Amino acid sequence: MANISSDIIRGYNDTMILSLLLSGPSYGYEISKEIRQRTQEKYIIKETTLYSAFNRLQKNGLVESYSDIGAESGKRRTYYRITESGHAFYREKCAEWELTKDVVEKFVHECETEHI
Amino acid sequence: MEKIRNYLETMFLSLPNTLEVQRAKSELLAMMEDKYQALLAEGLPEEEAVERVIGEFGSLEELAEDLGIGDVVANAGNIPQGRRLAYEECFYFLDTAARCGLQRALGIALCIAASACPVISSSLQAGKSDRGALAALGLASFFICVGCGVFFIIFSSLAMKKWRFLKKTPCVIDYQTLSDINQKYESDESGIRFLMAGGVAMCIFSVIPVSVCGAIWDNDLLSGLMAGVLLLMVAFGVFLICFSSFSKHSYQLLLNLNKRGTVGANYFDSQKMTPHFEGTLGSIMGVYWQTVTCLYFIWSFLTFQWWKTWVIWPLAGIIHKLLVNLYGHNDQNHRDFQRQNPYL
Repeated sequence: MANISSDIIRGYNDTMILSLLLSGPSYGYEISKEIRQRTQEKYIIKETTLYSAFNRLQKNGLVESYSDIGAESGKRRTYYRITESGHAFYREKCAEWELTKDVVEKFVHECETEHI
Repeated sequence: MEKIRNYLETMFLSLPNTLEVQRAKSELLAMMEDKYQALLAEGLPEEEAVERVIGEFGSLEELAEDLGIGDVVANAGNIPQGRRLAYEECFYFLDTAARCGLQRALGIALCIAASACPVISSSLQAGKSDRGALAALGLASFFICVGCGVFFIIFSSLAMKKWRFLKKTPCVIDYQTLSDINQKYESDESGIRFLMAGGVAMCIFSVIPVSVCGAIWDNDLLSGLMAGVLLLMVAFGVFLICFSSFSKHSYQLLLNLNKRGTVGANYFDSQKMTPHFEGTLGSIMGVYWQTVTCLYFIWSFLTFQWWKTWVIWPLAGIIHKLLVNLYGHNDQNHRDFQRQNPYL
């Protein structure tokens, strides 16, 4: 089975996180779990990658963090919430991905039909 | 969970102790803990869960830019800099230090006790015919005691010589070893305090026999003997004080070994609480106690009123404390951080 190249996916970690935050604030592990489940374990985000992404998003004002106690667990955690500019950035990234996908796909199909 | 914590702490050991680094560490720990709990809830055996959490952690290089630790990570990868002290090595050091501390304390005590020999022998001489023999015996035992004392002191310092690198080269101790050392220290601490207090009490009590005897009986022989007892008690008290402070020192040496300003150095409370001063006040405070000593001697030698001049010490202590409270800076980073994250 092919592995995901971390170089390629790196540019889209932010998009994934923002997309998950669209449906409400969340915290580190929950987001990593969501990513794993939605991709059927095809992509498992590393803790350091995730933290680095949060940090970057926060620095650029795309998300805000606050500390809160979880309703179920009763454990205090850092929660992240998407900001207005986060929404805008997300839309931008989605458009960018559509374009990228369109462009790259043109060549991927060629490859598949020729096949080895 | 202990294993995961260990892994993370060791990873962060030699990173600079900044707010960003501390925050990253606690966030990562929280994520790892959540994941570990979830894996256990899924029914995974403990060891497999630990393995998976550690395996999916990633690498510090990814955080280098965010944490401003690019140079540290680039230089050393994930390996903390400095000579690593193994677990066994640390406990071997503590054993050696305890033995040598005992020998050195014994040596110092013997040197003090030596002075009791001539005192006792001279008091025995009163009214005796063979004064010469007694005086010779007193002198001989004095030199024997001093000789033995010096022997012990030199012998123990030679044995400690090979550990001198601890102070000269940068060393690193990992988190698990540190916490074990600290545990041992905490269990020994009350004993150490007890010995220290006993030693001080012994020194204070040492004047009791001589003053009580002097008050009740007017006997030269007895008061001479009691003067000897005083010196022996002082020697014993000093032995206790030295022994306890040496063993305390050896623990503190290890617990404070990790480089200042790194996450690893956070282990020992005394370190982050050391107050420091900035700017001009800092340069004045650097020579505070030296200045006080000078003033004390100048005042004392000019007036020769030694019974008055000691007042300078308690005064200086109060002023020092006042300055520390008003202008001193503690290493606040960690404490502020803890205030913001009280659940840690």
